Amino acid sequence: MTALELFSGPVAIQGKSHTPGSIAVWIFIYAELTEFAFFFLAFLIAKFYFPGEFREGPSQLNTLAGLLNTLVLLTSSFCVARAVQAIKRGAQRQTVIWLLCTVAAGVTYCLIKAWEYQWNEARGITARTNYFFATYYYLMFNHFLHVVIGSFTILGTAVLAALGHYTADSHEGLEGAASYWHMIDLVWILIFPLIYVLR
Amino acid sequence: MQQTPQNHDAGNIKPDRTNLLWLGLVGLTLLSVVVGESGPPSVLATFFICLVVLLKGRWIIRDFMGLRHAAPLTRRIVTGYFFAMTSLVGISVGYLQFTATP
Repeated sequence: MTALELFSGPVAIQGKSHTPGSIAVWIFIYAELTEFAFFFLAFLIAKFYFPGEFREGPSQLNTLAGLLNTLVLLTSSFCVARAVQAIKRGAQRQTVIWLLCTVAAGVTYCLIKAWEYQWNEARGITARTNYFFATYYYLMFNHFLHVVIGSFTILGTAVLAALGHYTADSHEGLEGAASYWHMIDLVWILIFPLIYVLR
Repeated sequence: MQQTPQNHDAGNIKPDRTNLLWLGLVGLTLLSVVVGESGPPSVLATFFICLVVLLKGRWIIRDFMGLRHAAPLTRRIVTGYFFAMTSLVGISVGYLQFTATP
């Protein structure tokens, strides 16, 4: 397999394979995934050092908030996948609607996070409570930042889609933004059981 | 990764499949929470939850992200990353549960 085939796929050369987004977007996504890999490693190392705190920690968290945010992010991934399908059909109006639904999901995630932090504060839980909560807040806040950045990116993409910037044959930017959003969801799929469920 | 008339709808998902996948993802999430919260921590429950996470990740990577028909390197990096991270979490948590003193 040649280097060209590895990057663009053996079938791509024949015109059948397709990687969504540009190479630049994927390098950015790999960098983000690496960042989260370090967070996971830090969390697991801390768990080995303080097994008691990490065993008791999840039961003190608001699991309902974590579950709701998981469902919201899964739904947001569904919406953004629908937006990509719509632009491939050339359905501009539907694309904009699905992208705005994704932004709404991002806002909902932020509101649930705000409720969760308030819920914690009412029970005296802060980042200084113990090592479990320190790593919990560190990981949560970083993911929260990614959701905020992703929401603004999708909003910008919705504006461009509404202005007719994307067509059925040219929508690489939209696909790149969608891939970034899916990455945020993918990381959360592992964060949710790691923080809230597994003890 | 230029669009061409031949490839622009490659990786396109049938609408029904997208709906089914979303329902499957929601169902698996609820199931993993029930398993995780229904009893004391156990290696078996951890193993099951990690399997559910891997299945959910596979659906998102291949269908929602659209990497099913993507370049092999891109697909392998993302799939490999997710498999490695989930395995690391599962083995670490499982080991700690196995060696924990009651």
